[in-house]
Amino acid sequence: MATLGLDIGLRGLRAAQTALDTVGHNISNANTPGYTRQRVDLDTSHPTRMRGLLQGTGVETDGIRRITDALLNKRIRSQVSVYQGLDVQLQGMSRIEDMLSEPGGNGLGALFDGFFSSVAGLSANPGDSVLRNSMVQSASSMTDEFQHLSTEISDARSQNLQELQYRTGEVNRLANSILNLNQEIAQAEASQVPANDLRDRREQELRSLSEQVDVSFTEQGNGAILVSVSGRVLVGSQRVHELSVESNPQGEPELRIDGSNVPVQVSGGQVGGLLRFRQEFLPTLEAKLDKLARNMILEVNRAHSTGTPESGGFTLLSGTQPVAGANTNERLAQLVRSAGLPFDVQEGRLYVNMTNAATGEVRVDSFAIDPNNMTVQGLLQSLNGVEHMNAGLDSLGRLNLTADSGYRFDFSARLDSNPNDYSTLGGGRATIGTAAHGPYGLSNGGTLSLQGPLGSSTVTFQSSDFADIQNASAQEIADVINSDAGMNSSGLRAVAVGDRLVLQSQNEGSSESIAVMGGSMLSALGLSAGTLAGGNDNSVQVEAFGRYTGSENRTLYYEPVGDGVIGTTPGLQIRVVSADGSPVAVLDVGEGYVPGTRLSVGEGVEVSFGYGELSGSTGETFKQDWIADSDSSDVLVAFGVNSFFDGDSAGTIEVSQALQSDPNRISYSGSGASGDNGALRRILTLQQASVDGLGASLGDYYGQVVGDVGFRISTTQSATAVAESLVQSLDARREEVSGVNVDEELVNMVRFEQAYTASARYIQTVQQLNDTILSII
Amino acid sequence: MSLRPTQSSNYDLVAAGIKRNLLALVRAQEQVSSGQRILRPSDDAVGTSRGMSLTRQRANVDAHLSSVTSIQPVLATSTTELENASGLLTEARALVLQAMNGTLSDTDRATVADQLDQIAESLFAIGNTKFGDRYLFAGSETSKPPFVDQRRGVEGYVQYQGDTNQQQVAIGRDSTVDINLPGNQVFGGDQYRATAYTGQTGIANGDDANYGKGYMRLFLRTDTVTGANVGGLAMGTAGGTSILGSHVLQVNGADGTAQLGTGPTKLIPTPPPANFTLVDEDGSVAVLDFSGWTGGFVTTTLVGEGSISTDGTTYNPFDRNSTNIQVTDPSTGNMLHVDGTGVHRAGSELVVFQGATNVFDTIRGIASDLRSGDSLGASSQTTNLNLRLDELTQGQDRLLNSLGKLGARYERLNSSETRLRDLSTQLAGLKSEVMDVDLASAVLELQQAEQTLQLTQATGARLMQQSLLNYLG
Repeated sequence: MATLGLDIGLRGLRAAQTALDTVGHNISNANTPGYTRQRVDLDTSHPTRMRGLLQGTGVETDGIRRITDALLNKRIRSQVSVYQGLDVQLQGMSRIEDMLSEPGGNGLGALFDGFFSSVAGLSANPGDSVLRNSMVQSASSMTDEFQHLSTEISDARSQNLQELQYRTGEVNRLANSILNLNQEIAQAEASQVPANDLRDRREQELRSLSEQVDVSFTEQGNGAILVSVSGRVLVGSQRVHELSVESNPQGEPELRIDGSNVPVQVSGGQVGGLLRFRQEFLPTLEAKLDKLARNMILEVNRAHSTGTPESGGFTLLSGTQPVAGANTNERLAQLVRSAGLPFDVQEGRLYVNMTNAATGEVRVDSFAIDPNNMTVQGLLQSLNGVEHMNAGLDSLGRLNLTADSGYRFDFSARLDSNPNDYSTLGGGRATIGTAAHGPYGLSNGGTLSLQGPLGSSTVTFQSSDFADIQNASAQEIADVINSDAGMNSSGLRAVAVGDRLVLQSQNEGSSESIAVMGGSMLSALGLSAGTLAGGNDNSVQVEAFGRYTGSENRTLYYEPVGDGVIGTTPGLQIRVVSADGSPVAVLDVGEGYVPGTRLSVGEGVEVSFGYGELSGSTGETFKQDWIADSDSSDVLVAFGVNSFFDGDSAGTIEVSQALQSDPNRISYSGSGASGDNGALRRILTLQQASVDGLGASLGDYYGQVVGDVGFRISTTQSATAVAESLVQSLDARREEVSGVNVDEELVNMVRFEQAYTASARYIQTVQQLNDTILSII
Repeated sequence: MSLRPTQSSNYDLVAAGIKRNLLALVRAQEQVSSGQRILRPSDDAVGTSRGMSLTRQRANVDAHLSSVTSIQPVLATSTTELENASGLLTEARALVLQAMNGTLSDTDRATVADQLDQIAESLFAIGNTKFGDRYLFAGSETSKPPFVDQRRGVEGYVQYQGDTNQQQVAIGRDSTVDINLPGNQVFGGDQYRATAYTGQTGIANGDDANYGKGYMRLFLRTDTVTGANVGGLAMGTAGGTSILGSHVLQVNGADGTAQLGTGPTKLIPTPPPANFTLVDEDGSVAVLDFSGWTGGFVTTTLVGEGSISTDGTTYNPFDRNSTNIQVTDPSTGNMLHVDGTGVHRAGSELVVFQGATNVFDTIRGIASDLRSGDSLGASSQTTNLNLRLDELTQGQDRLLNSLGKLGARYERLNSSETRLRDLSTQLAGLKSEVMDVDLASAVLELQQAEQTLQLTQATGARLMQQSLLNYLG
């Protein structure tokens, strides 16, 4: 009896002691992060049979329990991963946002404006060299900013990589820590007692790990846990499978576990966030800035390459974009893909103006460009085919153009002021033009017999003289006739007027005459036997004035209707037709027309005719090119000929070196005249005009890019705020369950203090009972 | 609302509340101190895009505005110069009218001619006015002087080497303004209407059309005369014979007179001279040798053939029966087709390509005419002056016309300037609406945030102080 009482009292004391210790432990750890409050489980001790009754034997402590909610912890960890992942992206994006310096006045937008303002200033006074300098300076400021943005993005990328490596190190450190804790917990719990504080610590490490990567774990029987990332084991039962950052074949970083080749897909935590930032945000922004820079280069160069500088033309031009390996066999359509040129060559036409520096006379030549069939070599050949032009590739693969001495060239869309090349209309030479337009369907062995002033001759056409004899061009046929000895000695020659063949006597004067005798190719050429033409003592002076205001390139032919003398013969007219024969205008040049008077043909073009004789019956004609876009193939831009901007991306855009060293070389004129500002006006329209490649104007596209960054950031901000508040509320919930309420503990402290006092008092009472019994003995 | 608050969760709650309110206060302060509602794109993405678009538009408007203001002085200068030119032309005209008054002496005429030459010089200088480094009246070829002075043949010849294209400047997205006038349209005409001749020699337009500009001279000369060898008569050896075509000669043996055509009858002196000058009613002269005259009645038709020249040096014979003689001036390229059938005397003709002359050539031509008189006599000189005066009047009209055009352009530029300035202000206002902060409401927000913060701090403090320890012994 006595021992039982003492036992009971002792148990009571011990239980109260343990409970008080636990209260003390809780209070001390009220602010320890990750601490879960502990409670002592009290239970009655096993009853004993005594005096025919089951007598209770007091209290015993079953164990000290952590009050924790495993499911809640899991939710917290996954939400922490989400939050940290968003937060790190937000930080990265905010740094980029600051770098843009928009919408304040210090970003790229203000420099755009400055550039266009300088273009407008120069356009009002294109001869001013201070303004020219200013334009180059403003352009350079703008390209500097482009490069700066590009560099900042590269820097962000390398910073991102450093962060990744650092965080991966953290992950490995935490994993090792968890491994150690696993071992300690396994050891401690081998004796069936939960290692509460160790588990708390491990929980904290797991939370820290979740901040870095999104993890999941499985509990092993011995209290250890296996931690895995995206299905791959990080913390194993024996060791840690370390995470590392490696480069993939594209040079981008990838996460690998344990050195295996299969990358780990991390989507949450700071590591996941850093990867998302690097793989989505940065490339998207960089691509957009590059696209903006490219389109600026393309559009400005289109205007500048077809402009002329103050000197009116060039004697030497070197392209800035080299063809890789100076390979002249590349087709023009492949240059972007295989030869490293930044811009595509399209199907179109290139017009080349060659000016005789002494006389000021200008010849306008053009050739078609079909990038699918033309090689670089073919382009060089076509360029060399222009009289007085010499074209080649230098050792680096850059296009080199030079003019013969005494000549200069340019690519402007000028109206040829003397379109009657070779005087094939009303000229001094006897002239017969074909009624048909080329290409002509000739056959091998076909003949043409002509009578010239000095004799007659027959020329035979061989397949070997043509690329395709059934589609013979006027130029090819003219070349055959001009190289024929018989034709030469008869005093005959031929020229190509656009795609029409025209036969002429070699000399001028009313005593010259030529005639068509016969030949098997007459109908193919559109000639009739017996057509006779005589020369004139006067040559009609044809002059063209004005500027073509249309938007499409056109070729027109001027054909007299009937025969007559300009200004004299009643009803004499000249018909103006398109290449396909559709009528454009009819000009009255008969009686009542004062020779030299300008006649309006249409769309800003005027032509005047001097005195002379016209012969429509013999097919006299001349052609006139109305040029809206003198390089519709963009071949000049592709090769960097006469470029304003060089480069092809935000990181490489710069003002051409030639212009930086001499701003007076700016090609501001659109027509070749020194007071014209057409090229500048065209550049100025870019400020507001919609650009094909962007679907908006340059400025608006930039505004969209910045707006997009802002939008992404603000959505990320909202998401981060939501995630943060969710973490906070989950943490609060955890506090509810596992947190220490000091007041509660104080109450418990009073309770157990009293219990201890009561047990002590009971022991005292039992002691007194024992003494009473002993005093009886 | 948690069911089991702990001290820890309370502290977190208070801290979070303070942080949130402090953030709002900081934001409000940022807006007020910068005046901007949108400080970074993430503050309002749509607003940022719109604000930036407005900024770009405004910059575009400002760029065009600066073009307009750069151009105004150019137009102003052009206008001033043309006004000066107009004054000079008026002066020239008055001088010409004065000179055409027949009472002036030769010295006076020479003085007037000098004055006119000076006026032509001044006008020429105006034509080649430069503004900065570009010539104002050269079309779009502004780097070389539009007018060059070249003496060609006998007439002066100022050539225009500019072009007819206008320099354009963009004053709006789709609108441009021409800023100059091509010199050949201001100081000269380039649309010639018809050819005029003084007409004293009887030459006239032929069948085919003419092609040329400015002024030209034709010199007709008598080479041979046939039909004189009748009745002992012959052509005299002295020079001065200027008949062309058929002229009837009548010698009256009775009263010893001779008459050429219907001209004055002259008494043949005795002894009959070897060189006797007779004049026809049109002023043409025949020098005859009467020394072999038999003294009888003679009636014969004298036919003169001659040649034609454009410079007074190189002569080519012409066919008096042709209605379509082609005469080309090799130094200018001017080409005439003349009718020779009406030619009846030699002399020099002034040919005017009406509508295609310039004021410099006109005025200099008048001065030169005044100095040299005219071999054809006073009436011919009057005809010359009248032709030139006609051209001068045309020139004045063209100049005034050009002034009018400039005036209209100036007006257009001014109204463009106003329009652009208004547009710029409007865009600035729109941008301000999007980007700037409404100070009143921002300050209000600031005060609210401050208040909320203070309340949060006060209540937080109270909450954190609650503890059982305050009451335990």
